[in-house]
Amino acid sequence: MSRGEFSSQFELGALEAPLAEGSLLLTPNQRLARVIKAAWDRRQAGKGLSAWKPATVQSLDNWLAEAWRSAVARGELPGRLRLSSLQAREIWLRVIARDSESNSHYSLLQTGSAADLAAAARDSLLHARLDYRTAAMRSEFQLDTDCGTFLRWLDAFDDELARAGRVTAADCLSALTELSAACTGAGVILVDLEAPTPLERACLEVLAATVSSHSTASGQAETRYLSFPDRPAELAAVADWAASAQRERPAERLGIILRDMQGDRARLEYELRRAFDCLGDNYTALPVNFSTALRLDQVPVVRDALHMLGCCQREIPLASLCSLFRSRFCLPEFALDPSMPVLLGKLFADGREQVELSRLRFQLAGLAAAEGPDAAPLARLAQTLTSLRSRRLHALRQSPSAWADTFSGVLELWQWPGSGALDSLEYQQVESWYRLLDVYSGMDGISGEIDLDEALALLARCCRAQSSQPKTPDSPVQVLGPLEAAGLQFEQIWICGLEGSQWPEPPRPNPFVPQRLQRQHRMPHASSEQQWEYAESLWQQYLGGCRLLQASYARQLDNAPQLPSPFLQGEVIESDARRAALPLPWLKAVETASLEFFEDDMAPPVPANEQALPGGSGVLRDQAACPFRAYASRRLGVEALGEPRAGLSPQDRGNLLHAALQALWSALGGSRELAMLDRQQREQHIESAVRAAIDAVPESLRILVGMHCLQLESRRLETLLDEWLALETGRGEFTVEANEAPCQFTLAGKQLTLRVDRVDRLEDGSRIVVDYKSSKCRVMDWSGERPKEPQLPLYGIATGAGAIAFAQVRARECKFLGVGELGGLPGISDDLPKALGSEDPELDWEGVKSRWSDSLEQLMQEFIAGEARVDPQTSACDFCGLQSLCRVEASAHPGSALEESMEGEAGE
Amino acid sequence: MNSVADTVQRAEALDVTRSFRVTAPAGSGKTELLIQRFLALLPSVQRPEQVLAITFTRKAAAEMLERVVAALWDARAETPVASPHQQRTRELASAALQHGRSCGWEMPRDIARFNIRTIDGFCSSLARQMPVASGFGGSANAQDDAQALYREAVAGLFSLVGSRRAEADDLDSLLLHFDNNWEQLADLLSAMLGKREQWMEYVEAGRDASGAEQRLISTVKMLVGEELEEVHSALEPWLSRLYPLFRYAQGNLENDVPSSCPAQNAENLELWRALGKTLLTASGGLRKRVDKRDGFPANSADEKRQKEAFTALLDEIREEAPELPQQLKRLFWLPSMSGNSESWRLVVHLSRVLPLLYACLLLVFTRRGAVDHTQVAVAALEALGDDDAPTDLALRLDYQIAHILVDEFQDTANLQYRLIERLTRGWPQHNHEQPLSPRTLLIVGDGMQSIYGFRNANVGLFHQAGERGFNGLVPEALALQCNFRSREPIVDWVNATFADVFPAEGDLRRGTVAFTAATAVKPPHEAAPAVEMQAFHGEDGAAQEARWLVTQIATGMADPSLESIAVLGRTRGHLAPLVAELRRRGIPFAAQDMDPLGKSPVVIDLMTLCRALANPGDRLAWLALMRAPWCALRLADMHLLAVADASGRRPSPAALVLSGTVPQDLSEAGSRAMARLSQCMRRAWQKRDQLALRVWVEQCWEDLGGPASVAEAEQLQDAQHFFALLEKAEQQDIGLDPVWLQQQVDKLYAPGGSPEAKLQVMTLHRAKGLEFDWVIMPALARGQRSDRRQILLWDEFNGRDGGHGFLLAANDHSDGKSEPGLYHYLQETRKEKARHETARLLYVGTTRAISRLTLSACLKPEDPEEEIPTQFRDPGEGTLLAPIWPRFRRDMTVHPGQRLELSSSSGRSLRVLRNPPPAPALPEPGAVNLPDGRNNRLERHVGTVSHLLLEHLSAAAELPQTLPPGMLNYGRSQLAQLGLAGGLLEEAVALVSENVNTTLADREHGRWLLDSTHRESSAELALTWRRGEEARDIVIDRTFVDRESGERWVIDYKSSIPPAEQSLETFLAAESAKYLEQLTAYRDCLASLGPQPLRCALYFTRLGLLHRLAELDT
Ligand code: SF4
Repeated sequence: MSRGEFSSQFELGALEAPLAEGSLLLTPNQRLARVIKAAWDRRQAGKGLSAWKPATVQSLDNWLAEAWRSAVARGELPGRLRLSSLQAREIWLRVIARDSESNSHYSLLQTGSAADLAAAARDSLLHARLDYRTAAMRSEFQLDTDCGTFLRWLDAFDDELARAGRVTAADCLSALTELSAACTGAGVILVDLEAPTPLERACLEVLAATVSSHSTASGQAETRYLSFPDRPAELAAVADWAASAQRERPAERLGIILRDMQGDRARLEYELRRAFDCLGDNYTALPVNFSTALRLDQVPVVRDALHMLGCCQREIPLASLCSLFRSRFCLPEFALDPSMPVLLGKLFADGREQVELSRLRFQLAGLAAAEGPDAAPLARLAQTLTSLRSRRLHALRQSPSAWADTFSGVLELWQWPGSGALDSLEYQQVESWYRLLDVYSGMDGISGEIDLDEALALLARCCRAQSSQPKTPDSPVQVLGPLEAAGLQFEQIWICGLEGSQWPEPPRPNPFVPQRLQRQHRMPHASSEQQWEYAESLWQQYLGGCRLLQASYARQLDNAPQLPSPFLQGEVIESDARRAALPLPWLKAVETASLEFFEDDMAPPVPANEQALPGGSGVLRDQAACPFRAYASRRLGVEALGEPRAGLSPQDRGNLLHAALQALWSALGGSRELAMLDRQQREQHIESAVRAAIDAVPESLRILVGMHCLQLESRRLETLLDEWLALETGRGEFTVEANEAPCQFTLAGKQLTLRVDRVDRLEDGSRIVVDYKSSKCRVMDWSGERPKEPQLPLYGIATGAGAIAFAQVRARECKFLGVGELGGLPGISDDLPKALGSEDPELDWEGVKSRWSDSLEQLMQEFIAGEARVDPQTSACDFCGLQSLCRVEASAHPGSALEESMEGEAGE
Repeated sequence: MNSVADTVQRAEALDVTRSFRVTAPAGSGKTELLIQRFLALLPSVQRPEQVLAITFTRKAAAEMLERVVAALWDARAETPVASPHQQRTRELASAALQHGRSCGWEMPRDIARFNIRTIDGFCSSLARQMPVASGFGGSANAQDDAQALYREAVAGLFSLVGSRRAEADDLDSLLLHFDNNWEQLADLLSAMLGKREQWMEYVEAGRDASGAEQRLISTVKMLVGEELEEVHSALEPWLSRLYPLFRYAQGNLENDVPSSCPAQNAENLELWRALGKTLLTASGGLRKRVDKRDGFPANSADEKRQKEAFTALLDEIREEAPELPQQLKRLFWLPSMSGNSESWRLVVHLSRVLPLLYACLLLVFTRRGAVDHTQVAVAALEALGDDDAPTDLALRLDYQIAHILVDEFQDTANLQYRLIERLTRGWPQHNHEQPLSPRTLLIVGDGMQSIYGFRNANVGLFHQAGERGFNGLVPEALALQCNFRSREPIVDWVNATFADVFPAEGDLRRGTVAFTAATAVKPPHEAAPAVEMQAFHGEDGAAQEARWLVTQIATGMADPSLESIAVLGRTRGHLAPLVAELRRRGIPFAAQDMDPLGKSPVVIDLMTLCRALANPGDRLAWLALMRAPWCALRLADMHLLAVADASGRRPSPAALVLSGTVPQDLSEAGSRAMARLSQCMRRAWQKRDQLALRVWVEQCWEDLGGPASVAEAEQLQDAQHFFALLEKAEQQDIGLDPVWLQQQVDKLYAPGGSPEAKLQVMTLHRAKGLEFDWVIMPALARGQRSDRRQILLWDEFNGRDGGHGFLLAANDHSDGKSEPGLYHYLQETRKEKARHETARLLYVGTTRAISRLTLSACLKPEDPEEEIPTQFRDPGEGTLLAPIWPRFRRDMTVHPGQRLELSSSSGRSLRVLRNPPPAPALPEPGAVNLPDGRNNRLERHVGTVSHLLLEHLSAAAELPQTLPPGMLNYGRSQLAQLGLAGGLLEEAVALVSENVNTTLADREHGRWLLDSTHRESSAELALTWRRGEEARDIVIDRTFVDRESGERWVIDYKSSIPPAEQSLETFLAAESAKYLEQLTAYRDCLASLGPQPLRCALYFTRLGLLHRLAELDT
């Protein structure tokens, strides 16, 4: 039972009489047929009837299909299985795949579009009634690789159809032409059917007693031509026109024709919503009907369903997983789980754009242990994933209909489509999903038994081929593509996007049929002449279908100037200069805004009872770099989400290096033991140290980066340690006193737990504190009020050592870099004023240390007091990522010197 | 107007029987020439598509098409013609129209038939028309920025690490070479994928390592030999005196040196290098004096004499051959192959890994359905077939390309060069056979304007095309000189300045281009000096320069004689101080691509909002949301929301806000702001996925008070730009993905005002092809950040005597000082080519000017104390100023140094919106309305087919006892048509036959209602029924007027049966309740068909039971 109001859209005019006599009307598409039927219903209701036979009007394709079905029912034609275009495409895909495997001189990037082109080529050959089995025709195809390859595909496709007793829609028409004159006796009128194909004409001759044609175009509309600076301005003008016309004359019917429906539809819908004020609460009250709808796989409720099914596979893109976390169509609402930030942080820290499901289960298990109560959403997610895995869908090979049941079961596990408060659109979309499962199950005969990945790929293809055409009420403003508007009647039509190079459409002959044949048999879109005639006929129908026809084009598209379409050549074109303006509410908001500035640099102080500060000396480094960063990361625990990256992260590599060096020196002990080793023993020491470090790598990291990466890392560490030991042998006598030893230190009343990499004791009893670094280091980082690298100065004061030194352990650049009171050590300078760049010539070690402790004390007091002003040192922001929270950009003065790479990113 | 000197050449270029290579310097009106040539060629072809014109950019192609079509329309409408120059175009256009009419072209109506395209556009049309030959298989959209595709390919390659593939251990050694830093190798590999068309062909050659190594060594020998010959010829005049002195000096340093001058070949390279060292200082300048360290002790009289002789010789050389040191410096780069083993081992590893990487990239293209422009060009080349199996293009396109015009030839890369080579295969033979209708080629270009080195453009190709032509078709050389754009003083200055910047004659290998002077057409304009050069110095030099220039610009803006002013810089960084000054002084200007969108504060807040909506788990985003002006939460309040509780767990701010449970102990203002924020976010959260993505984010932003929070109204343009990005994300099925959005926002630039504004600020590359009355080029002495060391450098070597080879070297981390390897040589030659390109970039900049040109730079004085310093240090080698430094130094006016008090805003204040819009209402949750998802596919299909068979039976003359086999087969085919197959199909067939047979066996009702003899008997009756203002279409299974009772019956077939545990009565009651409404509609509709009383009933086919709904009787 379908509902349709009396839309006052169409005057029957000359069609009234034939309809009354019961002759058959055939239209190019169902949309026009529906409109004529509605007009006929209005006429009948006007005559006071309460029930009547529906008007005998339908699209030519539907009529021919029915004719074939009844012929088969009458037994006049053999009962073949008629393939839908989707089923035919699956067969083409299989044929092409098999052919490109057998002769390997070609492999296609886009087998999907090759299949579409092949299907279109076969249909146009059949519709032109060309018998491609004759020798002459086949030889013309063989002349060229593309057509020759297509011929092979064609033969294989026909064999498979014949073997399985299947036919395509075009085959049915060919079969109809062989019927003896079993015409239905009724006269047939072609409405706005300008150029039926030879095959269609042949069928009409067989099936219809008399064939006459009728054009609904009546009269000649007034025309008005406009041009706009660019496409957005043009679409904004169309939206304003529609809104004002609709407000003044609500009963009038307006037709908007988008030449580039695919490209411009989204922007036009937005402009229409703004013009009709349907952006806010009355979002669903937009009195506009769009002829094209979203593909089923683009619709949110189905998109999320496909993501849920995607979780049965080995891995899922991180972006899809995040969209699943915020989905409305599964229960419970994962996004609101208090431990979601921890999970998300871990997933992004892995740095992988594809998340393995085993990894996700592992992370969830880690969470649940800390979580406690079972009802938390993420715990339920963990259960869902575990039971999914237990169904072992990977091992299954079954027919699509069986897969349809399996997939419905999986969606039930996710409690799709959620709590059930669906709006009317979503309700229809869920229904079209169930209908899709029917279509999918109908692929049993075509695909046979397939595995999980193939099943999901087939499901995705089916969803892409299905449009979620919602049944929306008939509205006064219609937005249509050029073809769909043919024959319809409106008060006013505006067709936009008529640039010279796009209207009439440039010819796009099918590459699989020789060009000569296409032009000779006038196949669709083959030549410029044909494209002109096609556009001309549509133009006439528009002119005949309305009172006022407005046509417009954009003077510039992605900054290349455009010519008007030849239809507009030689006409008066009003050139409109207005660019798409800013929305009025925004401008009003800016004028009426009362903005004030405020300073907010102080955060609550560290509570007195918090004796120990976690994070060791890192607190001081952050406070020196930027007080706000120290507060945000250390006390609020905020950090930016990780970026995608390959292999080990810099922190992982740094930890491995520290562990290896620590293991090496705890085994050796000092320079004497090192000197006693011969080459071979030294290598063994290094190898065992590195192996100890690699073995200590946590299991989760081992799975993430893979064993091979760790093997490579161990080979790298061995060469690096060898190079480092060569440097250390060059030093004087020393023994390693402490190795990764923790030591407590109180600063400004707070206790810091420090972890000193290494302390060496020299022959004369003095000690050096060593800190391993894998990146480039500079001694100057210790100087100044806010030293960039405060750890070593802190260790120096804490341990009372005679010198502090970076141990820069970098391939090809191993060296010590330090300062101290004792000279003569490689890389450690005792000329303190020069090394630390201070003006005071008499600066000695004690003076340096006291200056350090003052500045460190000051930094710690600032941190404890909650000093959190945004005051970054140079390049502190580069690896920080907190710009959105500290708003450093918002208050930075504009036009700060920014250094650019050499390329000037020229015009195209 | 001075007379046009090169009218002869311009006329000759229109001779359609000959091919030409036209050098057209800046402003020489080459587009007009191309259009005239295009029109002139039309009468010589049968179809307009046969003339192919290729331009460099889409904008140039559109402009050329526009002017061709306009010329044809004007010719048709015979509009009056102004200049003799336009008269020539009119004649050609009329001839073309005439020819078009005779050939039946609909010209200029069918614009699409004019084959004027960019090279990318032509390649994609070829690939689209030959899906199998090109390997594309159909349309694939080419993306301008393919970084994401390259990264995915590299990730695919890394997934093969440690696999059993042959290339796995090559990959291991590469990773080890980069200290196992996968990210660094990934960056370099994806950068290399962007240039793959250059190395792909050579890397294939690396299959057999030893053969390739021999070829490489012999190529290097050839190269070193030629370079030494050049050095020898340069030193020729002094060699007779120089060599004995050199031999004497080497003797003192105990190096034995052959008596006569060594041959110029690779073996004696070290000797020549030693000679070079004696002449040049370490920094490459000619020595001023020598001492015993150089082998010239000054103890004995004889030694003093030798030393004076050598110093005299040095002075003589300095006088007579100033450019000699530059040539000798190359000696220190020449590669000696001994130190090449490590670098060569890396080349072999790479040559095995790169083809695998390319295969991974193809997989990505297939998966994503998107490609990059290089793949389109490679596919087009494939489609054209190689020389031994060429594709017959004429057959494929159904027309033979007869003439080709190529614009901006100096910017073509060798991929496009090879494409033109394949398009012009067999042309000379054709021209020989049919001299009357020859196929011709016209290439136009200006070597001096080749500035696209970073896009793999190779200026040598324009040179080579002129020398060797294509497939034997050698074009004749034509040189235009007239400059229609710039006035005489500027043209004279350019000629004088660049004559000694560009070398005398071009050298293909070094990438240098000879200079061709131009002759001005426009007379000098007013008194002001056409060209002025300003110099600034000191710490605030840059700010002082910007301030001075902006004051000049301010006066220029008021001068009516100047219609357009342009400030051109090499990069955004160089223009930043001037842009800041223009903004500070409020002078309106249009900046194309100056301010990155990502830095605009309103876009940062919008990105925060998108991140928060995308991931409620993103604590940073949600806390940042609270810090934005529309909420402006103080740190004290934020602390309460984010600090960890006793057990160390931190609350999720999103959970707090979205569930409305904000903690109570916030400050009064804080809790008010948070309540409003919570209301807005909960509204957005509940509406997610119900609105278009752009509308959803925009509404939430407006609810929060986003528009009111912007610092100035202009930033709303940035917001508009950002929302257009969201629209594009939804259109490309990306949806709300903050990672993608951040990449786009970092890449795009804020809209910079209309292109017609009087004052324009843009980079030099963007100014190509434009002209302005007054051109200003600031910060000429600013240096460049050198790009990272490539892992692989390569170059083609074309010897003078036709010798050809390739040079390939990998970055082996050596600094090249001690043992200069091939990598070091290639790096130095690349730097040299870059310097030549910088000179050409300067030429492009200066030739944009029509009447006035201002050049300015900040210099480092030798003596910083002087008020107006006289001596300045030379600018860096890679700067724009370097090539014209001698002239600039002579003619510059130096400005006194000033200390400027720069107002740097130190304080960081935040903004709060005092009057945010009122919080929006929350949508009330809808009722639960889930459609029925039961999978009853089998029952439905059985019902449908049973109906169909019953319909046929009710029309049959006499009713069979049981279902005839023919009809059962028809039923089976219909069930198969509905998609049933295998076991399901058999089950369905059995059910259908049970349904129909039970009905046929039910003597009392079944056979009665199927009886076709009833009056007005029909099945599947379609009717339209008016109910109030609605028309409803209905289909009635079975209706008739009973012969005996005269009652009109309405019957609806039902194939359902009671579920196992349900009794018949409850089942019937349920079914009748379910279909009551439908049957009442049927009854009311039929009431109008006749007076007979109406009876409605359900007939259960599988039970053979008629169930009357008595309550509906009329
Ligand atoms: S981005 Fe810069 S200013 Fe902001 S917190 Fe980080 S370091 Fe400080």
